[in-house]
Amino acid sequence: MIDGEKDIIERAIKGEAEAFGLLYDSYQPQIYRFIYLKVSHREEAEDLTHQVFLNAWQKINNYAFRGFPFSSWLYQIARNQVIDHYRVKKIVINIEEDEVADTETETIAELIDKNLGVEKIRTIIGRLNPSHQDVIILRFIEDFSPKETAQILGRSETAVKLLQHRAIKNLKKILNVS
Amino acid sequence: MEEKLLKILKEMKRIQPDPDYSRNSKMLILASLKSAPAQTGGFNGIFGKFNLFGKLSISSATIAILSVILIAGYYFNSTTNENKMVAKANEINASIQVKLGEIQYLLNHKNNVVSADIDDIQILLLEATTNLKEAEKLVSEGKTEESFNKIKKAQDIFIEIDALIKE
Repeated sequence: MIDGEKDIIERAIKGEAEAFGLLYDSYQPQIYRFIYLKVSHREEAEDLTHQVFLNAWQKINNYAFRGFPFSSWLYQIARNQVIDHYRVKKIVINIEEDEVADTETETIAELIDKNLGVEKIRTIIGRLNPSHQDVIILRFIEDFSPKETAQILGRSETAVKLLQHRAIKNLKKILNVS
Repeated sequence: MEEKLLKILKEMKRIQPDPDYSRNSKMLILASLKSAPAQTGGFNGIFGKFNLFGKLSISSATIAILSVILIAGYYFNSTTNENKMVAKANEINASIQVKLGEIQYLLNHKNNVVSADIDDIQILLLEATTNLKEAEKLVSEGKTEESFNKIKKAQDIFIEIDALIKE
């Protein structure tokens, strides 16, 4: 949560573009990252991120402060945007066969040694199911607490903890190290 | 092993959007009508739909700018004793208002303004608004000369917009 966030949001609700600009500057990189890791395509991530903030600006009157960071609301819009994106375009994620073969035969240690860790794992995150993607990104990349993650995902904290356990297990399984 | 995995995940935080994209996206969003219905179809889709939407946004931005100019004019008249500067500022103020009138007329009567130009115009209008808002703030702080330069900059932007529309 940014300093004076409640006040900034109230100003944005009153239509002050500068205030919304502050919110944009603070949260756009993480929303972009969230979307990019889910769609694995830079231009699509840019389009969707733009749409998320455009929707947020136009619907900010609907935002009600409940003690959670403004980012929770943005993540909810982002998740819906990604779901709609796949629903409308009926995109099926097809992983290239050779890419799968590479992943299955490499261990995390090898990936690190080859200095391919980040890029490779980014690709693998794209292969997880949407719930596992969400929890991996929010808990382990963006460092949200289980409580904040639960709020964003509309789940209980217990469900988030179970989900993160399964997500990590799945990630390791794909990496062939479990 | 899990520690290594978590460490790599943390490194993902280095993923950042392209700064040029972020700047343009922000300007387009802030230049859009807050109460307008949400657009669909992504960044390129939005570009394609700006003909009607863009004109509406421009009208709104124009009104906003006009208000700022009037306020700025008020400040110039009431808070500074530097008569020469006030005269110049008022002169520019008047020329901006004339230019705004022309822009509004052209937008209302010229149907073939392409969407790419509308995007540029929106960005330029936002820049002009920012300059005028800053001018208003500076003059209230007694920084007349800096304020004057901001108004001059806004005037240059309006001339640029005018040229874009007349192309």
